[in-house]
Amino acid sequence: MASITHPGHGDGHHGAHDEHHGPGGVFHQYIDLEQQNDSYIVGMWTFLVTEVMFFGALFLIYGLYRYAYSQDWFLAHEHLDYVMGGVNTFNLLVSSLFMALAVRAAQLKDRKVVLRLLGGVMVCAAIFMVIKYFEYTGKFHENLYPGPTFTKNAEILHGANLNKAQMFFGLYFAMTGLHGVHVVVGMLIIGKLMHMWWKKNPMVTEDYIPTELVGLYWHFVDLVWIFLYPLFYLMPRPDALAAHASGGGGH
Amino acid sequence: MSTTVTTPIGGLDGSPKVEQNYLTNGHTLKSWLLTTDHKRIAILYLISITFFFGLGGAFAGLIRYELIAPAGNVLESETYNKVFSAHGIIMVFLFLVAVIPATLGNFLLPMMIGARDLAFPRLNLLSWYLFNAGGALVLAALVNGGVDTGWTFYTPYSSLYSNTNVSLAITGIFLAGFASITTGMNFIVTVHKMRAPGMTWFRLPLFVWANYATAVVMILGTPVVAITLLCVVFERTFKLPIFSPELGGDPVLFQHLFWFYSHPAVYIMILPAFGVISELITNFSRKRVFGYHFIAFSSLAIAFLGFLVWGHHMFVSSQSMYQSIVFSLITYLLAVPSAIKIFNWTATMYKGNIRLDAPMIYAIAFMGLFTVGGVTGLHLATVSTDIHLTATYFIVAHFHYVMVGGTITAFLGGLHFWWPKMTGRLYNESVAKWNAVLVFVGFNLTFFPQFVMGFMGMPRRYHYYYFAPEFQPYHLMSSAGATALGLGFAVPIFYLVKSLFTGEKAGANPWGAHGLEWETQSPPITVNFETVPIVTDEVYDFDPVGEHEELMAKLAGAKS
Amino acid sequence: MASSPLQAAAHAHGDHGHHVQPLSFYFKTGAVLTVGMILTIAAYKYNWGGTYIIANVIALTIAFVKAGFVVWNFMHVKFASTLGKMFAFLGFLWLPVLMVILVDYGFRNHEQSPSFQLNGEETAFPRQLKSKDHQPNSPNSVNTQNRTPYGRAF
Ligand SMILES: [Cu+2]
Repeated sequence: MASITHPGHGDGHHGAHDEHHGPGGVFHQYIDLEQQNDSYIVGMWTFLVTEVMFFGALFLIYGLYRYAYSQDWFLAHEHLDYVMGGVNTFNLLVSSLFMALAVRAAQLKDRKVVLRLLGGVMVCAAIFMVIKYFEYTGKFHENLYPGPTFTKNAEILHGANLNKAQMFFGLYFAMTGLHGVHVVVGMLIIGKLMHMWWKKNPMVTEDYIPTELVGLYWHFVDLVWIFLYPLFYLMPRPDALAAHASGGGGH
Repeated sequence: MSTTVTTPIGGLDGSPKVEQNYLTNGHTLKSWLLTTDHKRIAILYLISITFFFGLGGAFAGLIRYELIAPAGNVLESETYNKVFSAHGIIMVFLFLVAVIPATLGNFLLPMMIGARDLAFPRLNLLSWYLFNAGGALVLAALVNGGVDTGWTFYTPYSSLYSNTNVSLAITGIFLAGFASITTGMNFIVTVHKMRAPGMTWFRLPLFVWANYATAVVMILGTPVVAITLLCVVFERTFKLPIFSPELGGDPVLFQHLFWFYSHPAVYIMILPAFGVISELITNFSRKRVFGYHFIAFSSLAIAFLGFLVWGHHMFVSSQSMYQSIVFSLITYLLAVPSAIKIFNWTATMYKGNIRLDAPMIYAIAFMGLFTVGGVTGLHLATVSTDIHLTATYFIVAHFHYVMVGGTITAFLGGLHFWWPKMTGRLYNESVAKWNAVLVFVGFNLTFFPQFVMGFMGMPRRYHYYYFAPEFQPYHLMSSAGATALGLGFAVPIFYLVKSLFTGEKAGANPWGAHGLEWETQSPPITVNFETVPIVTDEVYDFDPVGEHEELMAKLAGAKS
Repeated sequence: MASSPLQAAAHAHGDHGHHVQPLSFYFKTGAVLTVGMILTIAAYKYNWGGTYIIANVIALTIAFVKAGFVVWNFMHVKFASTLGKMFAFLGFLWLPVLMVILVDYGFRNHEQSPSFQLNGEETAFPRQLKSKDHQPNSPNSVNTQNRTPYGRAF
């Protein structure tokens, strides 16, 4: 259906159509590649707008409760390993850089470099998920997963109110979990993109926009983590506790 | 798929015109289910929507039957809760949100701007599948025992205490929400990037403006409700405490987030209806629409302001008093752009050559019913009266005036108006006219008594009222009206389907309407236009004087 | 005159100023992001001593700056059309509207329901109110009974 060539359509590349698009991939509803590419970029951004609003609501919930329960949350957050989180932050940052360079290589139509860089992104993403796995299993072992089995031992949470700590871990699992889902989806998409480059599919080799779109998605995943990391792993010490800590000789 | 059409479709080289239109282009089931043609997807959506409308209507019928007698007729309390929840969930999430954008919008938007298709046809098809997958999950939840939370899923009831199929229903709504988001993305990019040469922003038909504003609301609002409802699922399934009051969460936060979408959702439902009415009024008044720019920008103003009034649903929810006052004031403000539209339509009709065809009857009915719905909305936007009217039948009547009297009336009007374009056939005009009158009368008989009894204190969501049998006459009227209204919704199915087989062939432009969609054949060819149209004339360029003279000449000719 | 799509592509890029950026452009951005990350951690480790708000503002400011670099440079918004820029910022501009929800909490007490313990080990749902735990907690209360004097090990 999609392959009807419009007679009024200046390009006139009739015969060479495959199922969906001609070489270089101008779909029938577009007049030329430029219109198509602009549409794709704007379309991707409208999608990312929905993603911003999607995560935004979670950040709002987080902000409200963090303000209300800053002390308990601070104490609970100390149970997260900021080194592991930091390694993952750097990891995603490097993957983002790889992705940006991959898009650049796609602009230069340098297939080998694109494949290597996308491979690098995949490795980073895999490392991210492995570290997440260790973090999550660690929490499960210490019964820090919300619900009836949540630990009754306030000691390991440095004395935080257990109900508030449950809320902290509830949002931690909800937000990092949704982010993790986005990472996995990203890996699937990047895998598909790599496959297309591998097969020398003209849709990606002749036009860098598909690579750019995947890149936009991946950078967004990195963007969310840029906020998740300081919010969950690096909470400043609330004033009341700061006095407490210095009084107890903590510093 | 890949049934590459090689039929010459006519064009620059002067080859013969096509016989193939989008309906005859491929007859297999596969050619429909895997189509990327926006017109076919619109038809698919129309079928899905009609199905869900019938289902939601059946639940409404059960409610009205139950309430004929003060002690209730058939339903247990629990069943009644599930029935009105099912009615609300199906009608809001599976009918009203999608009804006009996904059917008329999908069909007309590319044609009105002179494009061959939406910007992302495959995403459009995905939208239909997501919608149906969501619908299927909601149906599964209903078959499996139903949901008793109402369509609003207020926490902590939905998250902690309801033991019905809340998670399943919410997952369905989540998917349907993404169907709506994909439609919105498609519309935005299409309007920005796919306009034909010469189709400037101020030559866009008002239907396009309305759908554009709707699309913006869709992409900004829907994700918020998606994540909010997802949090309820997290809470139920994974025990992640988010709105749980007993751990320190705030259930009112759910209401904030829910209404942040669900008030704008009202505009997702009504803005496209405004667009339809603008088209109908201007065409059947044979005049350029009065105040084109005002109508266009009022759509955007409504889309923007619609996001700032969610708190008027929460006047009795322990929301801060100051915030209630602010929300009340902004809600008044929101009445202004809506009123601008009503006044402009009235001014368009003034001294127009009004033709009372079926679509115009629907359009005029819309103006009356929407005005009543809108003005009673102001009663509810006023904090003091709202506290009296909260959770009474007054609210039920108010939003049915807006949603049924507004959106569904506009949808029926639009469907009748563009039916010849969609199918190439004319329906039986006189039956359609009488049916439009039946819908109007039945609607008022159903919902006007609800204003009265609501004001007198009949609470909504009760399945009996033996404590106040004096409400029975109102309930009887309402149920009788609902029967007439149900008939009014059922009859078009018969005569419209009949027109497919026996209807007179409609020409390209049976109404003498203006707009690019009327300049191609009916039903349109798959690529809509034989050549890329170049727009040179202004929008709604009617010539009332010329038409009048033509008519006079005709009449004179008939006399002699 | 049928230009091949390939030429069309080259043409479109040329037209649109999608010049390929030098490698240093990306590496510099990456370096800025790394520095930002290190600064965030350093700020976390630094004892702000009773200036919770400042510490939060600093952490978030760094995060926003980092986000800005990602959006502007990596996501090529810098080189996007006006329309692209508009939609790139729409979500970020609209998020504050969502945050208006928080205003409500500035004008009312976020009164908590009485905190109570879970109903045994079996299930969290339904949970039951236990009268002995039926004491309201103030929003910022810290359970002092269970708290051990604790200082973060630096
Ligand atoms: Cu509202």
